[in-house]
Amino acid sequence: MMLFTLILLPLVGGVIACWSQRVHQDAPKWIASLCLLLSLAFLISIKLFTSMDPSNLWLVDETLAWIPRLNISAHFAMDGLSFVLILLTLLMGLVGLSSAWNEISQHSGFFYGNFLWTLAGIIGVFLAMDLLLFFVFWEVMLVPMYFLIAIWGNENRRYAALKFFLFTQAGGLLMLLSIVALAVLHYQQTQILSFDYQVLVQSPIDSEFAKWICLGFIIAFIVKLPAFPFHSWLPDTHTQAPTPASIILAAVLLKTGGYGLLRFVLPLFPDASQFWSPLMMGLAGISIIYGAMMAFSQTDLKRLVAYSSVSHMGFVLLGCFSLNFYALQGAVMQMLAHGVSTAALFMLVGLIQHKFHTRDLNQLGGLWSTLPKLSAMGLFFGMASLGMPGLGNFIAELLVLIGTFKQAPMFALVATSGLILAAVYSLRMIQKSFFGVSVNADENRENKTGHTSKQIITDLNAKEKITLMLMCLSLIFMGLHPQPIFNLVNGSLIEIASLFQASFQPEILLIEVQL
Amino acid sequence: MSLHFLPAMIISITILILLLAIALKRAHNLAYVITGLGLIGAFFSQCILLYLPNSSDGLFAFSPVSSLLSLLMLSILIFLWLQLYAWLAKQKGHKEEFYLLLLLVSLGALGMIVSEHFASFFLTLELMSLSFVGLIAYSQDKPVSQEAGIKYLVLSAVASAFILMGIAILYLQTGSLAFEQVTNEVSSSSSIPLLSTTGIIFILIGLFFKLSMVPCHLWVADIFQGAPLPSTALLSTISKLASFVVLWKMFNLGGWQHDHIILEIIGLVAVASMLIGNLLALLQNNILRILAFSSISHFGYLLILLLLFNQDADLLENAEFPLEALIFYLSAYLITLTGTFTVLMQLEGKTKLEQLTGLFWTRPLHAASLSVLMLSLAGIPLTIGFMGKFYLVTATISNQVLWPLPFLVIASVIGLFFYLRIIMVMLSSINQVERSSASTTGERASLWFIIAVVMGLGTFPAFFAEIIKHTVR
Repeated sequence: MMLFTLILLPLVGGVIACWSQRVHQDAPKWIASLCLLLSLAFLISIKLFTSMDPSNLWLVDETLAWIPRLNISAHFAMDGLSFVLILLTLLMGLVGLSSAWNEISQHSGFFYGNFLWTLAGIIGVFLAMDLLLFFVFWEVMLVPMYFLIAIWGNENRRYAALKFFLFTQAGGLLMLLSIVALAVLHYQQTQILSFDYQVLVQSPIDSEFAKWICLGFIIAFIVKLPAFPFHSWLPDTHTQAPTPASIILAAVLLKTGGYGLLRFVLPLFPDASQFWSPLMMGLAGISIIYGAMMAFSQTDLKRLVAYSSVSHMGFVLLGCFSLNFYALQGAVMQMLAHGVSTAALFMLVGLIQHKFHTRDLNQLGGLWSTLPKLSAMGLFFGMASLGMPGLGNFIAELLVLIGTFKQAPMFALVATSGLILAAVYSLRMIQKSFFGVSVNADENRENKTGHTSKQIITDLNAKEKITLMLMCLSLIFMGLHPQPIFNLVNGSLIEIASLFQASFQPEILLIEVQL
Repeated sequence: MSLHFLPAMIISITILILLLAIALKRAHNLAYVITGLGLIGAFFSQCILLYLPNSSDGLFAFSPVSSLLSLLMLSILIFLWLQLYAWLAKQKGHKEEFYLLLLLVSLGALGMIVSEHFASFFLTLELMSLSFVGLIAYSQDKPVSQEAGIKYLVLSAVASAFILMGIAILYLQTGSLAFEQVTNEVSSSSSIPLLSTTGIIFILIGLFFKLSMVPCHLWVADIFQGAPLPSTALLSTISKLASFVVLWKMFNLGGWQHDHIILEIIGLVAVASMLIGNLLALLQNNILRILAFSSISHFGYLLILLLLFNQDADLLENAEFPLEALIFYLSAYLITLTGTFTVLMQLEGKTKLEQLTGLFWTRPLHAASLSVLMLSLAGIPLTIGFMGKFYLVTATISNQVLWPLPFLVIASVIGLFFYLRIIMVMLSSINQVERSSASTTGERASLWFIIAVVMGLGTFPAFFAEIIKHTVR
């Protein structure tokens, strides 16, 4: 029942937080943070106290009957990959909480309830092993997210919330059709009706439909990722979402797309993935370049970061469809590093917006003189985003490029130019916001009577400083000593890679890795 | 007389008692209690009869499936009856006859679900339709309601005429009025003769009118909007349930879907209903009109299932699965719809979208249950609507009928837009703090019950699925 508890904790915490507003105005946030810390402690204790069996990928594996009529069970399991992603989810949940602390005052109980329910849904996505269960979590996590955007967002929030929901739902419906088709074809082939991943993965279907079923999954995942033709919801959603929702969205929700590709598409459809691989790598290449170029031309800071996400998530897509062990490692690393660095950038943008009531690059400038600490943090995470060696993003992008170069050098070449563009837009952002003429300083002097002028000057407070410092440290850790993370996920990735690389010898590599 | 007639007998006796009671003394309480006792009695007798073996007496045929559907109908009626007292108490004019008409509708629908003969089918259909005219035109002070009543009367008469004509043509061909004989006769020949096809199409037109499928849908929005709320609720649940069951029976017995003309018509109507229903609902500003149009599209989805019966293409080797899917989807949709009308009745006729503004902050429980219901209609997981959709998709895919699926996806996405619009309106903040009227314990209990049923059956559908599976076998 451990994994059930892990999902139930935020779920129940959300209900309590929602209710606790009646007791005290500040109670919901304390309950939310307590609940997240508790979940975190619980997750780590699961990891510590379950004996690591090297022959078995799955740390924990639990099943309960759910819909026996169609042989659907509530099957949860956790391996290294899910573990690191859930860890990321909970940590970024804490970051989101820290940024919500002073920002959310309206209906705070309902806010923290929705916040925790979103996280519960995301954890469910990372744990579900039955395809229908996975689908349920996949869709359900959107509903509280929708509320977060539609209630606490900026001026155009309804449009953004609707767009977000419709895009992901349309993808989700295609996935539902694919899930059912997959189960039916699997029944045809083996006479076993099952929606269970671990059963389905035993005998990949060999039907002409496999390609199209696979495409249904892929579309659902790359809408979420998001990759080039389906990305247009992301900038709108990010600009309108409240900062905590932005953080969760960028840091974790997008990763569910990458996770879906790694966990379901590649192992369930080895042949079909091979078939779609060139197209997907092409889309990834376009996403990288296009996202970077769009990021360059934005003046709204949130849109800029959002487009840079499109560019970075292109590397995840590229890594997944390079069908190569190193690239897969890179994709996972990119998910983690991008999760941390983008969450931090959104948090900083949120702080800037909170202090200056604008995100427009043209109205900002010279922040370093007024807000030195915030600007220093901005510089660091901007550097991380452009792939500075020594930080997690560099390791990730390098591994993706190495892996891709082995399979398809041309795509690697295209993607590499994305790195240069990343430097261009990151530096532009840093230059225009933190350095240069301090536009606001003058304005402040003029508006000295304005009630906000006092608020503007305050730099990071202790809580924000600690949060951001910890995020810096984790990025540096990922950049300097990524091996512990790779050790966690390698088991799952070797399994996937061995489907595609016939000559691939996991034993040798494992030894090499452990050395 | 077989024991199976017990529920209908109870309802008939209740009708007589109620007539007498009204003649002796007009009292709202009394009429309410008598109706309730009758409905609950019918419900429990139907429960007992659930797993009795099939029996038929030429006019009516009983099977576990028909019992389950009657049970579903009676539970919807009881739930609406519970809400009715508070609603009627606020209305002007006589109240007792409403219960009478309600019972007549129930009797008609009960008969229609088990009818096995064109004579019994037509009689029960007319009993139901004519009572509906009274129900729709019930509000004496609302001219819209009178208009809606007349509209329904005229159109329903036209539909009945079509059905009668169809029956006559089929009788001409086969010399019988029993469903089984007619349908067997019609489908036994290798291809259905053109005259029979014409007759079938006439009957289909009549039923499509009752189900408000495209292109016979033009009446539905005006009547939904004009009729008193409980009548609309009955019209959209009971009448459609009974009509759809008859439609299913004909397809199941006769295998009409094997005829390519009928197949094309059903396919066309299904796709048109899905798309047009949802498109029409897109920019409506009245929640009743939205519900009217969305019901068109929901029956469009259901129509796909009709094509799956008696096909030999089932990949899951489970010939009964389409029927299970049909019952599940139908129950899911009707339960959700009943819940929605209950909430609307409690909101005292606030049916314009702008009247719902900020409902989340003035009446949170009403808003929350309405949101859950809208998500269920949209088919979002953890609601019963999603499980219905899942059953439908599984049945469709396993029978290799793939062409409606793209339309289903498109229609669902369009549908999502206006269901979310309703939620969005309720979320928007209001400036002036409206006096939040306190809800009674009964209201709160019924709202919690709705949420519990819609989400409970959506999250743990195993029990319900087993019942359906057991019934269908």
